[in-house]
Amino acid sequence: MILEVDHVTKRFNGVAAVRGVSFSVPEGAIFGLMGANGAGKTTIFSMIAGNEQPTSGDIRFQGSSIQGLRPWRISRLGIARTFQIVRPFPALTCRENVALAVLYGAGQDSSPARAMRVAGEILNEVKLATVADEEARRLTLVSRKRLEIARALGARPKLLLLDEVLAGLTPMEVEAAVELLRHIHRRYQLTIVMVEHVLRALMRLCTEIAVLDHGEKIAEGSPQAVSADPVVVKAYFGAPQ
Amino acid sequence: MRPLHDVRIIIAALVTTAAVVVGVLFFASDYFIDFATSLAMWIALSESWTLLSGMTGYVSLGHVVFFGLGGYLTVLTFGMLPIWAALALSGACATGLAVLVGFPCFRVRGPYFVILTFGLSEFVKYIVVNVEARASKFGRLIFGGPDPNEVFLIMVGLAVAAFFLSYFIRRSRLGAGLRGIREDEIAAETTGVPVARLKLIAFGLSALIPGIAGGAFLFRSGYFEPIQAFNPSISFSMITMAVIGGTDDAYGPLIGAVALVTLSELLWANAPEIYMTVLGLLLVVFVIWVPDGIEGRLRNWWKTQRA
Repeated sequence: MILEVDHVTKRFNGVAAVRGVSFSVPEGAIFGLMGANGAGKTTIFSMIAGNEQPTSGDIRFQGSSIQGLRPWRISRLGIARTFQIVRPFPALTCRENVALAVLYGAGQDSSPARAMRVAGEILNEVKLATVADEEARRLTLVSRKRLEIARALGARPKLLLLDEVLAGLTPMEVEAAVELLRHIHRRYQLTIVMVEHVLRALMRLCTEIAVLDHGEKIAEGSPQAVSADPVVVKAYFGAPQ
Repeated sequence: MRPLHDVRIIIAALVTTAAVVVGVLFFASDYFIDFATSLAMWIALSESWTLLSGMTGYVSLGHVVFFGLGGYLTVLTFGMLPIWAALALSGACATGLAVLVGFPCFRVRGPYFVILTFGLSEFVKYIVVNVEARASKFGRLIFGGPDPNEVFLIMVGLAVAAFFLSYFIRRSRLGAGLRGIREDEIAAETTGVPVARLKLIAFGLSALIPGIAGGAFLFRSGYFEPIQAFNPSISFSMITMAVIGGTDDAYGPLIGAVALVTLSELLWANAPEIYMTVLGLLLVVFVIWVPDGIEGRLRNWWKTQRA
């Protein structure tokens, strides 16, 4: 198991956003975290990436605990995340955005010139080569989401956490993005954990899905099993009348 | 990251500087040497200020504290230490102070950081004022320091050092990390940038040369008086020069310092009472209409010319 989330709880001022959630992600998987708004998906991501600390429980990466590490240390171990509300470096060009990750992420490249070259290659992989030298703030939302992925890839992760990279895209853009995710999963030999509420895309991409509701895990299994689970159906679509 | 460094530019800058220095030393009047010393000092100060504030976005309003501290240490050790040792000590202590106060100061961002750095410089100023008053010293004069030509050379050395420090950091891995902090600190840290450490490094480096310059300035003025050595308007001038010139590359503060020092020289001669007013007015105009400064405007213009 590359990632183990072990009975993790997170309280904000007494309100539990995540309650005793556990799941394990095997190496090479595309693992889905599903759930309605406020189910605790992003909070779990923030705890894995070190942006938030769990109130209790443990998170292990490649067998050792990453509890209490600063985000930059976790990044250097090989975990990269994207943000649901994208946060590129606005005044830097796309190439510079990615190069920064190449310099400081798990790859730890020491040469800015080489980092800029590598960044160009990554932008090519995610089909942003044409806007490589545009400032990030000038991009459309679709491109910004891609840049978010490119920057995460620049950090040379083993585990990539994708936070709603498909949300807000048109059906055609979702198609293209699903293809892109398949491509980078193979190309960079990644393990991916993705948070999403675009159900169909999750069903197609993931090998395993965990379903969260109000901070608790209510189901886990293959996409088919999960979508047939009456508990999930009830939580997602409400009780049948 | 700026484009990679260009050896031709570096050589051209060094040759020009050397030519100017030789010209000034052999041909210029005492008045002009004084002017050139002042110009070199302001280049050194505003370049140093941008190392922290231009690169990370943490605006220091109290950079005079390093300048004043350098002056104070140099006057205290005058006669006891050789000049170079006193200046080195001033630089080292300024850096040490920056790293020390960096720990609490960097916990806050934005306007809080600005106020905190301003408060710190005033705090140190009044400590020195009180210590001096207890010691019954009301200003300390020094005799027998380096002569004006030597002070001029020291200041030019500091200006060149500050310029190249700024020039190379902007093109380095460190510079890329600092820009990330300025653009989005949370995203930077999540991308692997050790933000706390980098901010301390930037603060320490940006204090180094102002500390030495404060010591060297002592030999130009010939006396030390805390209210003047720690005068907040010195911080304001550094900022105004950097903002007018532009903070996105090392050329900016250089251009800003040349423009403002020349302007202030003209104004002191003709209308000294309006200098601070003009400074304030320029700051407002540039912040609103030319936020990337003269250097930024020139760079964009150059880009469109070549396109």
